[in-house]
Amino acid sequence: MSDKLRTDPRATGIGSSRRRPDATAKARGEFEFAPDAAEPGMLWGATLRSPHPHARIVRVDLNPAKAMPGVHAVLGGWDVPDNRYGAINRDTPVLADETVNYVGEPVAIVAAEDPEIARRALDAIVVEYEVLDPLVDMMRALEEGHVYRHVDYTHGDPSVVGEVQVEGVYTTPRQDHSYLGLDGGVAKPDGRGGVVITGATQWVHSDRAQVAAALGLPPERVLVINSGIGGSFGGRFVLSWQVHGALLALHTERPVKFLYSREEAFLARYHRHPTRIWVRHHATKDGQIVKIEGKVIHEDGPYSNTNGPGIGNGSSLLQGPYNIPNAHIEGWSVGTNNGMCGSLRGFGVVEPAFASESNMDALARALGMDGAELRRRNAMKEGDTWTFNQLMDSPAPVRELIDVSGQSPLPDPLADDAPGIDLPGGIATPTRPRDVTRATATSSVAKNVCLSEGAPVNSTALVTLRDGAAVIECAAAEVGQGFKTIAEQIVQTTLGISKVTITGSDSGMADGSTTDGQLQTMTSGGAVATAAATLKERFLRFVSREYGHAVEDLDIRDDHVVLKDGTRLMTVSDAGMHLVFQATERFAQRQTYDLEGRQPGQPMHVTFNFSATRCTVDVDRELGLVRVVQMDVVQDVGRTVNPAQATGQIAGGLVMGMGLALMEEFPYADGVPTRLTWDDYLVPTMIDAPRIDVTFLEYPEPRIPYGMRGIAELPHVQGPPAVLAALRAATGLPLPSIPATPERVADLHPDAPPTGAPKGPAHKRIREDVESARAVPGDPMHDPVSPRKGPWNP
Amino acid sequence: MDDERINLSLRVNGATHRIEDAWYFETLLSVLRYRLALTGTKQACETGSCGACTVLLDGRPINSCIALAADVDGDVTTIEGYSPADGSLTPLQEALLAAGDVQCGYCLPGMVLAGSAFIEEHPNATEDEVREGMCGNLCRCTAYLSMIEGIREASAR
Repeated sequence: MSDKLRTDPRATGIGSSRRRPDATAKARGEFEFAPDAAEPGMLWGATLRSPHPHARIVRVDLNPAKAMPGVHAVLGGWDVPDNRYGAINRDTPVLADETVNYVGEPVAIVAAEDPEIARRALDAIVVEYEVLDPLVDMMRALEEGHVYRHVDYTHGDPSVVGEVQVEGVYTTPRQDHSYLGLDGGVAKPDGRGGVVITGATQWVHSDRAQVAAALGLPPERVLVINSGIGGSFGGRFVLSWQVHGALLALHTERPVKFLYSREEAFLARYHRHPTRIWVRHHATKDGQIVKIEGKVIHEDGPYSNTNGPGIGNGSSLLQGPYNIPNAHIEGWSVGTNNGMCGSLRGFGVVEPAFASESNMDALARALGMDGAELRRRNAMKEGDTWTFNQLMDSPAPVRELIDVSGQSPLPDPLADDAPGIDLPGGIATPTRPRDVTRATATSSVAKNVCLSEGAPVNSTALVTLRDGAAVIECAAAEVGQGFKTIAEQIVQTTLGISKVTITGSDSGMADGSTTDGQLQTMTSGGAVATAAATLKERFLRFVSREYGHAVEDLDIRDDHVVLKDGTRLMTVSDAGMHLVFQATERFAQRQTYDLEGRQPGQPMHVTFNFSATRCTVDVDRELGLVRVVQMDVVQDVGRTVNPAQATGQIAGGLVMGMGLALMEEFPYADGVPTRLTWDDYLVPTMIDAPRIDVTFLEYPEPRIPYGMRGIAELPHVQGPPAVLAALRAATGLPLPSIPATPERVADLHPDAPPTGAPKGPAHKRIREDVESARAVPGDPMHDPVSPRKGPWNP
Repeated sequence: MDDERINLSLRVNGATHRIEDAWYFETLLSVLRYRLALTGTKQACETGSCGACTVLLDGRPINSCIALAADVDGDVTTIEGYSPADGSLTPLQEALLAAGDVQCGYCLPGMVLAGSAFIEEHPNATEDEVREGMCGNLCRCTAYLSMIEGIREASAR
């Protein structure tokens, strides 16, 4: 990264690389993360988990654990007032009651004086199971009709047949978030019958509603406070320990701390759904795509929970960033006993993007055409219509992205004496430079920005100005992505002042939007901008009244009240006379509607973002070893609020996507997970880090203050197609499955990859949306939304 | 259970601490975080795989999550002891922050301590030396590029 990206704690305003407000505390180890939370007199919680992928619970005896010295409470499913929860679909037991449906499912919880005593108490609990056959194959789940959601739509004339047809079946693995900050925190009684939960979540208000419903409490009896969040990537959208902690705190009248081990985090938490996707492109001989067909299967684990929207995203975005006039797409979210699935950065879109970009590589090869040229020729642009019948009514500079990604200099050729660390395989590699093939290829991707299909996407911010300094309050979660820095910069620019800070986030504040779907900058950022604009108007009206200037002549610049010609009148601090000025505003994205059954003109997604990447890899084809040398990524970000942070989000997302492309897989054998440490589940290290050249395009997003657009999911979507396109160019192999492990790259994979389009269940036994009618009071996911009318939402 | 409890003493950040009634199998990480409230040392993998729990033992980096507390003989320096008492940053900490990409920051205390030992032994480190020497410290948010740059810069001082 170049010098211009140096962060500076004194830098202010949109466009500067202002340093994160928490950076110093983080570097000094003083920043409190959720696992660091502690309370005087606290107990330690622990969770007994199912060892079986599927079993009936015959008998549970908690008494031996209850009798142990130092144990304060032991609870089972019957102790939960309302034993189902879910961030979207409330079908997940807080504690298993009749059956267990995956290895790691919570069965009982304890609170004890010390974590070791709590663990020993778990061992004393007697659970008798009647082991049942687990359903572990997604194709069987589909055949048997274990379907949470099925979508089926066409576009244009689905009977159109292209001169050239290329099809393939592509598979993606279960991926773990593997954020470093373990799941945990402290729940404590509030002394009035309620509970305070200090932890880490992407959405304090959703957690509050879910915890309150499970406990049978009104939402205002539950306060959810965000402590420091050690990464999230979509992994803190669904509750983990929170209801357990709250139950134990209320039972023991003591604070109770939970802290998962890494193994427990692997077992207990949900993962990115594995998928199997059939896709067929129809094109003319000169490379014009005329139709896409697809069948998308998401394996979504034993409970639906958040998975309905995933298949909506996946089925709609299968076309990628290309204008395709005709389509027939079908998608299924199916249930198995292979562990919980849910959102992970690029929810539902990482997989179809890999599948359709892979098929684009195959199509280019069939046409004898350069992959970048095929993509250019079909690039989507503003004014085109998506296959799911939505007008692309914001910028879509796909062709320009592809062109610019090809303009960076290519990496230097591999030196004959290159050391192991620069070769595929790393430090002690058996590879020699003369065994290495280098190839470069281009890919492009699209992702929806914000939650879709009617989900509420709105946020509220309060900005207070006193003595020339502003304080922002917004409940949006800072998971590391940099919202707090950006919020400060937006207010600095809007108010024309430099002293701006932002508070923490808790559910006692007005509703903030969830940190999901790369929506926070353009949603909570929108709320912050709107509130600051209203505050400025109020403040200047006050100045006008007190100091006798016409309000339309006044402005604020560089901490001074100025006349429009720039003449300084006084400092903002002096002008305010120690009074407090405040504004609170809500900002909502436009209303969206279900994929199927929309009226013309009703959008399914709020908006989209696009990127293109040229990736260079070195491969030892015989050993199957790969090193990603360089990635030149170009992304349209709308408006670069903080260049250092935006670069970090894009580069970091690409490397996470590279991990999925090459090494990350969380497999199950007969329903039992087999990789429960970071020695088995591999994530990229510094050895794997490629050179990354990030370029921004800035076509402003309509309807959003400052034209900002979400950034952070798209690079993860981009990673696998980028790496695999280059790998295919280097090896000539189709490589239909990720991760492209050495076995696959060396073409040693013993199992033939699947072929052919899957068929839906013969007899529909659809379980979809069984529980969704159980709306939770105060749950932001279930509250009716009225899109806010305003300057950015006409 | 009483025969599983021990008393031990640890020298941490220049002070000697007497720990009463610890489990004999407790790790250094556990004692630092939950008995001495030094939570700057981060718990993340418990298998010595990620480096988030790095502390210095007589100046050399170790994974405190796989060190038995009762076994530790020497001066332990945690991030609290390494960081300047006046609230400022060491040149390495400043270089890591200035290079541009701190996100969640959970890896950062371990990265700083491992980096401090690394730059002692690698003046004017090359990019490859940093990648090899620091590959035991995982970061899940970033692409590592700013860390490589920050550590190289600090090694040049």
